[in-house]
Amino acid sequence: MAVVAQLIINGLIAGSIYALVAAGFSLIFSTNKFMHFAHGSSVVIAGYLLFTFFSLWHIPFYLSCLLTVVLTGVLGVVLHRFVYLPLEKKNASTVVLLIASIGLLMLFQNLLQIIFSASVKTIGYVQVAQGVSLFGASITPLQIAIILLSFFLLILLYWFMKYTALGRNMRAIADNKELAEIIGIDHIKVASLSFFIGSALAGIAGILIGLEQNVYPTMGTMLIVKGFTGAVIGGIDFVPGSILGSYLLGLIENIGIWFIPSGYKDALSFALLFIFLLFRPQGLFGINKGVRK
Amino acid sequence: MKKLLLMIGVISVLFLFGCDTANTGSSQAAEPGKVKIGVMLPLTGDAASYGTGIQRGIELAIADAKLTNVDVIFEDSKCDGKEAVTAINKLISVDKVVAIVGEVCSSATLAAAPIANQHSVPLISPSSTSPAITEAGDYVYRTVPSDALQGDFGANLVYGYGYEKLAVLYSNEDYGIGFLGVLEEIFPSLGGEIVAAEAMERGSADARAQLTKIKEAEPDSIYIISNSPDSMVASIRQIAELGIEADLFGSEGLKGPEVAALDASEGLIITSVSSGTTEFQTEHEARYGEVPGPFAAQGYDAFKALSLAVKQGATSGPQIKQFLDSMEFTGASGKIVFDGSGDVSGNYDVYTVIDNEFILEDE
Amino acid sequence: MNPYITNLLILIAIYIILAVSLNLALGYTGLLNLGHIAFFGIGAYASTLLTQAGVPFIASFIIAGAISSIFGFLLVYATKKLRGDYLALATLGFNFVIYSLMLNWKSLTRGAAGIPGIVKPSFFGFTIQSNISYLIFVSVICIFCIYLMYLIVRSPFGRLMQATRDDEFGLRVLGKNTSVIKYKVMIISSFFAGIAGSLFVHYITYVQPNYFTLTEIILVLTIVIVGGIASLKGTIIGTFVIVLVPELLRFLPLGSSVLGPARQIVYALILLGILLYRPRGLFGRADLQ
Repeated sequence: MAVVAQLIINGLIAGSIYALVAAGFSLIFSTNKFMHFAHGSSVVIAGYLLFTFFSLWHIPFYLSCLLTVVLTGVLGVVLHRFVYLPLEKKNASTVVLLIASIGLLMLFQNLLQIIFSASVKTIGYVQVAQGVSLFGASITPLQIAIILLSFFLLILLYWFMKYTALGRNMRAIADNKELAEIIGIDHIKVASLSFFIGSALAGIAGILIGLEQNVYPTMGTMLIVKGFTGAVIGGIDFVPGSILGSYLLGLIENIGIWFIPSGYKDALSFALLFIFLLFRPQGLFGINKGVRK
Repeated sequence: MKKLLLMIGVISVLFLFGCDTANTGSSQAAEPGKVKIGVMLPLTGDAASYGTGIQRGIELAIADAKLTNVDVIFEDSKCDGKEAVTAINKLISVDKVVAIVGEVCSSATLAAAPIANQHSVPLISPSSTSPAITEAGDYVYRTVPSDALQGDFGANLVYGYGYEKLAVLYSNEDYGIGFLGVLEEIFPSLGGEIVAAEAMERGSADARAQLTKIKEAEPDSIYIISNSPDSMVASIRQIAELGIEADLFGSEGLKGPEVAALDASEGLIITSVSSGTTEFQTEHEARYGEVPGPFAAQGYDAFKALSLAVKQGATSGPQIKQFLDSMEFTGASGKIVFDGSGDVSGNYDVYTVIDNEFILEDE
Repeated sequence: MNPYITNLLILIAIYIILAVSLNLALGYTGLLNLGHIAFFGIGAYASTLLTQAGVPFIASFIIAGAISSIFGFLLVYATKKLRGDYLALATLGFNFVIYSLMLNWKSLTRGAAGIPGIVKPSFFGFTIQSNISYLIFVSVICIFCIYLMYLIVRSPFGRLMQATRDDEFGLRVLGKNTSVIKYKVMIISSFFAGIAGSLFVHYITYVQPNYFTLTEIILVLTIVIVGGIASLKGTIIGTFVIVLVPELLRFLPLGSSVLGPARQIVYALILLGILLYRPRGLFGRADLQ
C-alpha cells in the first residue's frame, strides 16, 4: 500500500514539474500556433536568475522570485518581438518557427554555460530532509507546494481562458485566427501578452524546479521535451488539458517503470508521445482536430 | 546568386587558408627540439564539468613542467565519438602534435583510438575507465585504472563493512553499465546479494521511481554509480526525502563540491581513484581556490608522463611511446607505471563525507 | 593530402547524401520529416550488426538502406493523416523512440556502451584502409547518389513530388494518389539515409546511440535550410558551409572554455540569421511550409 501511494506521489511530483513547463508552452502555442521550444530555455534562465538574485546577490527570497518572474516574462516578449514576429511577417511556416525556437534553445544553453560554467548550481533556500509521511509515502513540503501550485494554476488558467476578455480573445485566435481578426482582435498584441504570461509561467516553473532539482545549463532541453509530451497528451492548444496530460505522463512514467526496467523510462514517454501524435493528435482534451492545413 | 557563390568561395578559401597557415605554423614546430602536444576534452555539453576540471590539472602540469619547447593545443571533443575523431585528426594533421591527452569519456576515447594507433601518436586518457580501453591498441594509455578494478575494490569495501544486501543505482551509459557488471559479479561471490539494480538516464534529475523500487527491495546499502553531477545531487537528495534507511556508497564521479555541499550526503562513502597527493591539492587550491575536481590529478599525470618523455629528448610519437613503456614516476595521483596494455594499477582512496567535506580514510 | 581535411571531406560527403535525401522529402515533396536521423541510425546499426554477423560489406550496405526504407514506409504510412507541425512532431517522436530502443535494447545494440571495432568496407578481396581511399570510395558513392536523386527530381515523378508539395488537393482532383507519391518518396529518402548511416559507421568504426540525437537532427535540418528548400545544389553547398564554418572557429584565438560554447552559439546564430534574413536559404526555390 505504501508503495502504491509512493508511486502515485512520485508521479504527481514529476507530473507537476512537467505541468509547470507545459502550461506556459501550451498557452503560447494556443494563441500563436507554433511550438516555442525555447520555452525550455526560459525555465532554465529563470532558475539561473533566481540563483543570481538570491544566492549570489542575497536579495530577499520573495523579491528575487518576483524579479525572476517579471524578467522571464519580459524575455518572452523580447523573443516574440525580435525573432518570432519578424518571421511571421515574412509568412514563415510553423515549421520554420519551430526550427528557429530550437535554434534559440541551443543559443541560450551555450550562453548559460559561458556565463555560469557547466556545473550544477544549488539555490539552497530549502533544506533537504526526509519528507512528511502521507499514506505511508513520503513527500517534502516543497513538493506539496509544487503539486498544489500546479493544481492552482490549472484552475486559474481554466478560469482565465474561459472568463476573462483576454482569455476569450486568445481562445478565439486559437480557434480561428482569421475570424478573430475580422471581429477586431489585435492579434499581435494578444500574442505579445500570451508570450508575457506564458514566459512568466516559465519563471514560476524555473523557480520551483530550480529549488527542487537545482540548475544546470542542459536541463532546458530535457524539461521542454517532457513538457511538450505532456502537452501533446492532454491537448497542446488547450492549457488545462496539457496540464492534465502532464500529470498523466508523470503517473504513467513512474508507475510504468515499476513493471518494466527503469532504463525504459524515457522510452515509455517517447512511445506515448508518438502514439498520441499518430492516433489522437488533438490529445485527450484538445480543441483542434490535429489535422491542420 | 553570384554574390552567394562568391561568399561560399571566400569561406572555403579562408578555411583552406586557415588550415594552411596552421600548417606552416606546425612545420616550424617540427624543427628540432620544438614539439606540440594536443589535449582533447569535453569543454561543452553534459561532461564539460569534468573536462574543465581536468583542464586545470593539465594546466598545473604544464606550469610545473617548465618546458620552453612545447606548445599545447586544446580541442573541444564534447565526449562524443564523431567530435573526437574530428578533433584528433585536426590535432595530428594540422597541428602536427606528437602526443595527445584525452578523451574524458570512454566512448570518445575508443572512437579516437584507431586514429592514434594509425598515426603512431600516443593517446593518454585521464579518465576513461571502461575495461574496453585495455585492448584499444598499442598507442592508447591511461592514467586512471579500469573500472574492472574499481568495481572489485568497491564490492570488497561494501562487504568488508558488513553489508550484505546491496542496491545499485547506476547511470544508463557505458560507465554505469560496466561498473555494475563488475559489482554483480564480485559482490555475490563474496557472499552478499544485489537486491536491486536500477538505471537512471544521464542528466535526469528525477530518480524517485527507481528509488521507490530500491526502497521496496529493503537494501542495507546503496551504491550510486554516476558521473553526471546533476543526476547525483538529485538522487542523493531524493534518497533522503524518501526516507530510505540504507547507507550510501558511491563511485568516484560523486566526488565533487556539489555532492559534499548536500547535508543529505553526510556519511556517504565513496571509492575514488586518487584525487591527488596533498601537494597537488594544495597547489590546486592555491591556484584556483577550489579543491581539485574528479580526475584532475590524473590529467596532471597524463601530461606529466608526456612532458617527462619530451624532457628526455623524445620528439616523435614512437619515441614518446618508448619512454612511456619504460616509465616509472610518482605523479599527482600516486605511482604511475604503464603495463603492457597501457593501463595503470589501481590506487584507490576511500572518502567519507563528514560535515560537508570529503575526509580521506586511512588504510 | 592532409588527414584533417580528408576527414572533413569524408564527413561532408556522408552528410551530403544524408541532407540531399532529406531535401527530397522535406523540400521537394513537402513532407515535414524531422525523423531523418532515425533512418541514418537504423542504417548505421543494421550495417554494423550485419557485417558483424559475417555478411559481406556490399550486401550489408544495401540491406542497411533497405531496412531504413521499410521503416521510412512504416513511418509515412502511420503518419499519413498528419500535416504541418503535427507531422514534424510525430516524426521527431519517432526519432526519440528509435533512440530509446538503441539505448535500451542492449542484447542487440549493446546500449550506451556502443559497438567498437566495426570493420572497414571491403569488397572483391580489397579492403579500404586509409582515409584517402575511403574518401575516394565515399565520393564515388556520393556523386552516384546525387546523380540518382537528380534524375529522380528531374523525372515526371519529380514533378509530381513538387506538385504534391505545392498543391496536394489539386493533384488529388486530377486523380493522382498523393499518398502513394509520399510512400515512394519516403522509401527513396530513407534508403539514402540508411546507406549514409552505413558509410558513417564503417568510417568511424564505432557506433553509439548518441550519434542519433536532437543535435544531429538540427545539424541536417540546418544544412537543408541554409542551402535552400528543393535545391540539390544548395544542399551540397550548404553541407560544406555548415560543416566547415564551425571548424573554422577552431583556428580562432579563443580561450578553450569559451571556444566550445562559442562554436555552438555561432552555429545557432547562422541558423537564426538565415531564417530571419534569407528564409529560402542560399538557393531555395520554395518556402518550408
